[in-house]
Amino acid sequence: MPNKMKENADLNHVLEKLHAFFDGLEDLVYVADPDTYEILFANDKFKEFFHGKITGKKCYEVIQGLKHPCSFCTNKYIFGENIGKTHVWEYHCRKKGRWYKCIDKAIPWPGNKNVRFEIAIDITQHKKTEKALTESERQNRILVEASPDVIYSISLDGKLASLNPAFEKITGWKCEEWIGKPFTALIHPDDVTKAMESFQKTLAGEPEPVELRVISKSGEYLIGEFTSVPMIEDGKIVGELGIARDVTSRKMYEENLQKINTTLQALIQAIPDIVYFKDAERRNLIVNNAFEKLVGLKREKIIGKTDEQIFPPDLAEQCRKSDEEVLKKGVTLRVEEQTADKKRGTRFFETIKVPIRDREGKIAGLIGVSREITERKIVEEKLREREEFFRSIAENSSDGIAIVNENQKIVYANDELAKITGYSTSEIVGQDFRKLLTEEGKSFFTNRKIHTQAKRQKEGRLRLKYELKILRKDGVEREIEARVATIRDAHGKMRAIVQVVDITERRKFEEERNRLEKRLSELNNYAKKLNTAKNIKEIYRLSLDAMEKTLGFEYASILMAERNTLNLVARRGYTKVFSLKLPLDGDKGITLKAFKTGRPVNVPDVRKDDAYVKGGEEILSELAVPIKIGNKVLGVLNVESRTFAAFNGEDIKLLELLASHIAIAISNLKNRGKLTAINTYGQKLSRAQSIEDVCKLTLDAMQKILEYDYVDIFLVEGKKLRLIKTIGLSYTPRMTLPLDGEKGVTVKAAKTGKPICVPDVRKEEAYVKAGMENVLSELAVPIKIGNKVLGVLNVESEKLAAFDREDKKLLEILASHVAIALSNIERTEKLAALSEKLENLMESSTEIMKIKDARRRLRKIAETIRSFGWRRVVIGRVDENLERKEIVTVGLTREEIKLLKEKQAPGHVWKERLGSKFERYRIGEFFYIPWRDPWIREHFFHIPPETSPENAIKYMNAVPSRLSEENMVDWHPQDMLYAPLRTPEGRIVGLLSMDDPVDGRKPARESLIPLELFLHQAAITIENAELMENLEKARQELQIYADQLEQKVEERTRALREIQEKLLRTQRLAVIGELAGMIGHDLRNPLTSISGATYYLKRRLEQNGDRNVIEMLELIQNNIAYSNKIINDLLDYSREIKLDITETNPEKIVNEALAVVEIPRNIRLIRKVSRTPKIKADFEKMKRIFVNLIRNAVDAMPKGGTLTIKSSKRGGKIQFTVSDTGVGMNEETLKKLWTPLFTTKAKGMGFGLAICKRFVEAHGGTITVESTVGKGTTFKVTLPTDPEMKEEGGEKIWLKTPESSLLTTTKT
Amino acid sequence: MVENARILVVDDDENIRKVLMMILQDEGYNVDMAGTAKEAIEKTRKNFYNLALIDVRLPDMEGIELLTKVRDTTPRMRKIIITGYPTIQNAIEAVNRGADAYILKPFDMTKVLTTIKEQLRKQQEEIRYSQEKVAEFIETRVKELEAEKIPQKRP
Repeated sequence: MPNKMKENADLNHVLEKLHAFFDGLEDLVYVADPDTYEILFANDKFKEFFHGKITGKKCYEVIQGLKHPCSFCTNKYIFGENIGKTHVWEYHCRKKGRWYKCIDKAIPWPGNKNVRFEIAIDITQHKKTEKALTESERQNRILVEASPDVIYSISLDGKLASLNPAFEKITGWKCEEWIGKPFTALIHPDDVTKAMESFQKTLAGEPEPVELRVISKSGEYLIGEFTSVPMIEDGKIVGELGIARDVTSRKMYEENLQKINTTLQALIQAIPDIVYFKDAERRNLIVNNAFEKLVGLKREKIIGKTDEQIFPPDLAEQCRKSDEEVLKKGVTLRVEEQTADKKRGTRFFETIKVPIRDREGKIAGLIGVSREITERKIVEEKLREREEFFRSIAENSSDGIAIVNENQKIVYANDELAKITGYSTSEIVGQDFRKLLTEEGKSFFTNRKIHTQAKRQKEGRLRLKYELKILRKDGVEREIEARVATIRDAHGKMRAIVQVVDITERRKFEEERNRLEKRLSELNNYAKKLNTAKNIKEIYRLSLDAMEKTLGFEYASILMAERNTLNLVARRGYTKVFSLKLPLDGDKGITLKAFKTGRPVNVPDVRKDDAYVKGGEEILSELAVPIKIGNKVLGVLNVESRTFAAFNGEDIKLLELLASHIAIAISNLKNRGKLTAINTYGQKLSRAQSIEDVCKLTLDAMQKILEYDYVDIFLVEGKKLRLIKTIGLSYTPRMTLPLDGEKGVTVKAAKTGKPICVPDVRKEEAYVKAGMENVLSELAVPIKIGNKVLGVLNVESEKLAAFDREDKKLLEILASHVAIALSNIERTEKLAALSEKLENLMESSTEIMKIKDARRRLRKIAETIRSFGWRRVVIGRVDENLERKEIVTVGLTREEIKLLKEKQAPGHVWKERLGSKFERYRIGEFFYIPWRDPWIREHFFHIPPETSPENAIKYMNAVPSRLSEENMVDWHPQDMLYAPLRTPEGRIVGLLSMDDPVDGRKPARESLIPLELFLHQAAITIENAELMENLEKARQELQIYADQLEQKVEERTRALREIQEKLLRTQRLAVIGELAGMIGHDLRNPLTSISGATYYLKRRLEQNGDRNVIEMLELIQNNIAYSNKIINDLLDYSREIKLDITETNPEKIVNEALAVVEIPRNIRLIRKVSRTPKIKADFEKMKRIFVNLIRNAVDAMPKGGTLTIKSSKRGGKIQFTVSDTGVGMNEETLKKLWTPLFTTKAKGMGFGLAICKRFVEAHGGTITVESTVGKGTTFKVTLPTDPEMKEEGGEKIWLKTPESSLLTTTKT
Repeated sequence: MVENARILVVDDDENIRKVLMMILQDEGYNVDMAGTAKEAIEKTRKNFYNLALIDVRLPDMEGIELLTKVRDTTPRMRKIIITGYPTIQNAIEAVNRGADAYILKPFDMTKVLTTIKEQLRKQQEEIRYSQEKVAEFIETRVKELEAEKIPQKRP
């Protein structure tokens, strides 16, 4: 029991110690029994990490969540032989995503046993940093692995980016509650300023440890010691990374300091960094293995000694300084130490020293953690070198260069910058760069800092460029262009390099150019407006606007030439109203000078120019620019100023430009005016009633609008051009020019259909002097509709080249109006004529309708057509082939009619003439045949093409005209016109042709339209006549038919009677046949008996040898045989025929038949029977047919002869012939040949041919015979090769032998 | 054997019966006659005939039908059909019903006699053949029985 009690007391003691030591620690610490795996101790952190009460539970359950011990738990490395040794390994907790360094060590435990002590240090941050470190080449190791407490990071915007679990433990907050929020909210309000300063310093690369009060969840303030470094990624500062230690609980460390035992030592030994504890006298109390390694001394030689005793003097001195500071001030220090030895050269260390306090809060010593940072130092050195290099470049640069630090202070400026700013470099350096800028520039940079620039630069990967204004020392503003780039200096601090160029001159030049461009573009705007100006006033107003507003002249005026003076028409800027008229032949006025020379006149001092005309104002300089089109000056633009030489080259240029726009606008406006006037005349012209009116109006327009002095109008009359009217002369000269002649410019215009402009008539051969003298130039414009020239408008002038393109255009427009007016008048006249004709037509139509006789009616139609102006008219009736049946002529002489009939074209020719070949000669329903067309001569009149037109008439296949060419206008005497006469259904029933027009003109469509009416009327007349004729014909036919009917009835009756008789005969024959069949049957039995009896007798009597008796008996026997044959034939004939159809061929049938019949030697056989075609037939019956025929033939040639059998194919049929050269048959025999029982032979086959006939007919064939007495007989058998079979066979049953009836008859 | 053959003439025409009997008796046959089918059946039941001449048309029965009836009574009898109405169908039916030959009326006596002789010869052959068959059968059977005895030696 006492033992147990002691053990418990020991246990409590140990546990108490462990708690005191490790509960405050950020690392996970636990002690486990290696045998039972029970957790004996766990520090608060551990408990927190794995949640809840843990002591007493199995380690594998708690840590791994397993049911069985894992390889860690069973690892006995630290026990037994290795007792006292530490086992260090890394563990990655996937669940939390964190890395741990685990240190295992066996420690003694009450109850005389060793247990597993394990401490797990969170090295996730370390791992990350490690990773980051390997990635970056330029960067030093900037993250210090400090003793783990709260590790945090803050992004640039002051928000917490990360927190470790120690934060939660110490403050009671959850990490999630704070991540992403401003860190200042955690800080005691009084400490916020300090905190911000520290943050800025860290970001600026000058971190300083700071103590801040931090609020815990419970509301208590904890004292935290913050050590921080800038967080750098890819060379850019992205925030602050720091360690915060809760120094509130430091007392515990102080207390525990006294109680350091082997357990704690084990921990310290395990830490890879150099760790040492010192007392207040700076004696080393505890050092770890890393320390030993560093100094190269055994622990025993270190403990209890000061740094001076173990370190080289320089290092010892460095340590002493910081130690003393820590011990004296009680602050945590971060220091850099360096030492050099021969072996390893200069080495750098970064050390964090933290004071240790005792229970009373008195500083009892310190703890130090050191890390070697040599490598980082080397990198920093390199950076510094680079900075030097850069500086040398900057010195020699031709641009101004400044380096600005993060506090916007200029830390460096080169000489060039000094020149630009007017300050010396020493004056610039140290200044806020914004002081150099104008107010505008300052405000621009108020909210923009280097950071922003750096960030933007990072995003855009571009150098930043600003255009700013600076204020020089001498007060002059200059424009500069500043390019900004950021770099990091040796200390990792951000620096902005600003490259400055003075761009003031360049800017000025650009502005000048812009101003000119602006003036020009404004001027152009006015030009556009000018083009659309509606009147001259608007043009003046716009011009003055342009001069005042765009060009900026104080005094501006416009002068225009009018007859003999240059008149002031518009002005602006003048206070007094005045008018000005300068005689064109005077020498006063600068404007007049410009007008006369056609060039701008710039007078810098008017007092020195005699031409100057004094106006109201105190004018000193003047500029006049002419307004001109080509070389024609219309007026002058004038500007004046009260200063000397106010106008420069640019002003002249711009004013000239404006003047040209004005000139164009004025000329456009003028032309528009003329056009409007012409159009007004055009309207008047369209209402003109006579040609005379038209001419008068036209000349009026030419004179008044177009302002020509001498104007003429010519009109086409037939083949001539006649001068109708003239203005400008006191009389109208008579003038007629032949259109096909060479004389007259007007003729030329009429012929070509194009305006002819003659600038100098003396050089023009065609020129003809009319009435006017001294003509030098002339313009002639044709008046035309489509391609038809109606006349010519003509103007003449005493000047050379008086007419330009504009004149031509305007005159053409007028000419087109005139043309329309003339053609309107012409049409009106034509219409009047037409309506007269129509009236005539109406009258004729009613008259025509009254005539009943077709011929007379056609004649009336022809006469009416003649009255429409055609001397010769022919109407012909045609049949369906267009052959002329009858003609009606009007205006033809007897001889001509005779000739017409002789030369009448056949129907097919007319068909061609109405067909597509002549389609292009169609005018409405009519065909117009122009003799002059060679194609017509060849294809219509059929005159050989080589014949000359003069000789052609001789060959002409039509009635030649009596007229001569001279009487005609555009019709040739041999021309003709024809049209088909169509019924409403479109059938052609007649042809109309006409020629020799009274007016000698080619017909127009309009003049032919009324005639078309006659075409229909004529067609209907003919059609009606035809109908009447047909009706008459039908009536006559009907009469004939009625007459014949009676006779036909008689014939028919006779035929019927014959048929009836035949039918009766046939029926009788049928009854006889039936009877014969029955008799034949019943005769067989007695014949059998007779036959048998005869046989018996013959057998018996043969032995007696009486020849006569035997002969008689044989005679009986023969006759029995013949009787039997007759019976057989009779039965065959009377039996119903059933065909047994098989496929066979002619040769087979004939050969089989020949095999049955014996041909005597005296008969020659000729066989021409082929194997084809295959036929379908009853083979047995066919065979019998030929057996019969062959037998007959043989019988017919008792004295010998030739038997010929042939077969031949005829369509779907086959014909056999069986011919003999025998006795032949007379007509009487032939008639009865097919009758049954008829025979010419003594012992003939009475039924033979009758049966043949029946069999042939049963096959759907025919059998015929030809015979000549003494010459021979030929039978022809024709059979279908594939007979159509009826259901019951080939033939209907017409004879029946009811065998049952025989039964009864025999019985009796 | 042939000479003494018994022939039955079945015909309703008495004249024909007489003529045929006379001729056939002259030829050395034993001739019997029947005027009706009924009579013919009765006769064949009582007596044996080597051959029968049967008219196709009888007053009480068609000759062809008779063929079937007499086959039951005298299966070995040769039967010759005589017909005055020759048709193919007729002939085929006759043969199918057991006729051995077919003669058309009015007949050529020489032809009739030849046919009869031929039929009788065939009958003789048939008889001999069947006798040979019986002998062969008996012989075979005896041999079989003898053969059977040998295995029967074992008790």
